[in-house]
Amino acid sequence: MGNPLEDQELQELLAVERADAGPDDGARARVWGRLAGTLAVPGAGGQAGPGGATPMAAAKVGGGLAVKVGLVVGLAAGGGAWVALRPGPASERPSVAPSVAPAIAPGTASAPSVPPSDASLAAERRLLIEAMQALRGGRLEAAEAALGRHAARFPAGRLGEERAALGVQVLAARGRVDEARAAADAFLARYPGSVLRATVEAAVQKP
Amino acid sequence: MILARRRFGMTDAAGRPQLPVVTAAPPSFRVIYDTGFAHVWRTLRRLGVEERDLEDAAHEVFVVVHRRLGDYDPGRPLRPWLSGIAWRVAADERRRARHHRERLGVEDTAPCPAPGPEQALAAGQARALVHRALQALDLDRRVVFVMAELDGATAPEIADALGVPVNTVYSRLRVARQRFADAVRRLRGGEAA
Repeated sequence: MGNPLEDQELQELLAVERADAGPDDGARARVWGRLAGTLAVPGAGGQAGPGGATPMAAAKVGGGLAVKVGLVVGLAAGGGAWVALRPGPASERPSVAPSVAPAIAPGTASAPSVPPSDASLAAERRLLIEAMQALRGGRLEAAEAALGRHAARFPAGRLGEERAALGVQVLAARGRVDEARAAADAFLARYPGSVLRATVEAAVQKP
Repeated sequence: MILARRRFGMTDAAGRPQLPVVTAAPPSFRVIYDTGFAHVWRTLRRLGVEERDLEDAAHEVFVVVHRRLGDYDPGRPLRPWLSGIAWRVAADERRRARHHRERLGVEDTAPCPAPGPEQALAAGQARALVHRALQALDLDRRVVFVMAELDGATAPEIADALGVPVNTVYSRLRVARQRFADAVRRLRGGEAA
């Protein structure tokens, strides 16, 4: 069987992709800055690549990403199992200081992991599921009340991102368009990389 | 001896100079970052990591790189090694996003849609068409396709980086090429799926 990629047009397409220049220097500097905050990176006090931003400055930009799940820090034997940590909000993370307590060092056998579930997380989840079910059932006041209870009980809860996304949906469903848009803007500013982004954006785009 | 291997002067499939890999001490983390960052970025994007998540995913890749520096054999080319790590991070990111959605039963948080066929076929959008066609491949085949067809890695290099037999690389590549070609034709509207 011949190579199905021998088609000239396919080869031209692939040639375009191969020529991809990749990221700009700003991305390179920002990621380097975040690494300086995560690792004891030798030489992290210098310039961060052609972008010119110092790692310290770049880390501040990266820190704006707020809560971001899924920092992969470990590779178990066999290359299959990855350990994921859920770091706290940027404001709770230590400031960039490569000389201070490296979070990870080469050769560390394994990294601790946050327990995936516990009683308080289960309680958070129950409240938000209650809110979500109420939202889906059109019981918008009940949905808002459940979110309010979650906010009161877990002001810094681990599902704050989910609560905020549901809050936007509830406001939009109640027709409080301006409030919904403001809440959506706040959500997107706080969680720019959220996987719930599309949900939040869709909620405020509905007529 | 493998450590004596030299790759100076070689270029990859895109004509870019291969990262110099020689003998002796492994390169520093900073050198690996500076020379490998763009490659990691491109690989993550080709493996389906969305634009908004690329910086996070690239950060994760280099956290792992830093952790595994001691495992890196400087006699081997760097790009496939980085690709292997990027592949695992992309797979983890995909699982994490799925768990995140499932945790609350949220169903409508699919990734932002890729450009449609019309957009992909517009002038200057060939790259979008390639990326959309890559979505037709599962991640295990996609990484093999990307490494072989876009990075110019050899099958043994891919097998080594991914930890799979060489025959598996060949079989995945054969299927991936066919599915990629079919997907491009389908997106162009030339043939039915």
